Amino acid sequence: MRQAQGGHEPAFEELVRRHQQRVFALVGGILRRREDVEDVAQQVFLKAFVSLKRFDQRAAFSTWLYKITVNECWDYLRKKKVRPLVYESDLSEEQVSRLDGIVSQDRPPAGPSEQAEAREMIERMLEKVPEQDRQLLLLKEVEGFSVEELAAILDLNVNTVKVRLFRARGRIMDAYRKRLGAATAAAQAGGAGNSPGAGERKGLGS
Amino acid sequence: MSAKEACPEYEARLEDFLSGKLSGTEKREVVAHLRGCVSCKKAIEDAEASSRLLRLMDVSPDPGPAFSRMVMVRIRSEQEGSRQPRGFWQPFVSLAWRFAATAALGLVAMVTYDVTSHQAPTPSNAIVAQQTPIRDLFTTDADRVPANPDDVIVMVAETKHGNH
Repeated sequence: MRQAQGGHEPAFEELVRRHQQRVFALVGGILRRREDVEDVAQQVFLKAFVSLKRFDQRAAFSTWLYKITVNECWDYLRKKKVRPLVYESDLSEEQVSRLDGIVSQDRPPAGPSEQAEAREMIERMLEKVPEQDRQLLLLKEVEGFSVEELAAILDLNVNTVKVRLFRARGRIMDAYRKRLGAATAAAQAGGAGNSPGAGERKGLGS
Repeated sequence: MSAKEACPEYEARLEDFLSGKLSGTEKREVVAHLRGCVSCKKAIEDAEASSRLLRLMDVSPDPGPAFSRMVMVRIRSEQEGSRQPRGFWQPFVSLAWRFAATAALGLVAMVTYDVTSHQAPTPSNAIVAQQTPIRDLFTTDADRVPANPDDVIVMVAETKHGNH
């Protein structure tokens, strides 16, 4: 660390190698756009290199670096005015029932295509929960950040993070149940009157 | 149908319970609470289901060993950009260049003005000259009709000179 602070490039490169995976995970958890992740992650390390001399080592280097990462992501979202991913069509009843089979029975997806379909459906549900909830859930559950890490990175109290996370879980399950209920209703209506599939109807369950 | 809200005093502990972070005593206490509280029981079931749901998502990919090299290349190129030689004379040299550029611009403007001001009359000027009536020196003043206000002034002046 001291060598890197003294401008020793190989030492800084070693720091990059050690932390690049977590920075990628953090950027990925916030931006959710693979095409933006690498560019923003590079910018994070560039900023870290420039301001490394000012790092006073009172906090862990990782926490300091992750704070830079979060700020960089928010700057990026603000500057680019990135629109959240919006899906035109909604989920069909078949898709929802397949996902429900995976979730309620806790069984793994049958294959790569089912896995990809499940991921897409979850992304759609995540769009229905507030931005902060989505970020917390993804960073904790998907990218593997601990509650303590999230509290340090986001400058929040540990208990606040726990409560927010717990409430966010309820919200995503609300979105999930709305989808499930709407898809079931559409399936019943389709069976009774041969109506078109829910996949063609927009705004289902929203 | 909406998710049941957990008891506010238990929310943080339920998150810990879900993550398996509670000690024996705390865990037993939460389990006892869950037996008697429908809202918290429903909330923890939801929370467990959300974990199963989100587990299906992909973790961000490992950027690989090329990433750190790319970062270092970018850092070096940024440093190159900021390390332009700025010696003691740099501000003076820069000022001299600016002065030279301004002087050159001024010179060009002066030469251009000089050339255009000594040019032969343009066709439009020539037409104006032809249209200007030629004063007939042999006609008497009484016969002359002023063509424009300038002629009036000239005729008055000539009359005065003639009187003298």
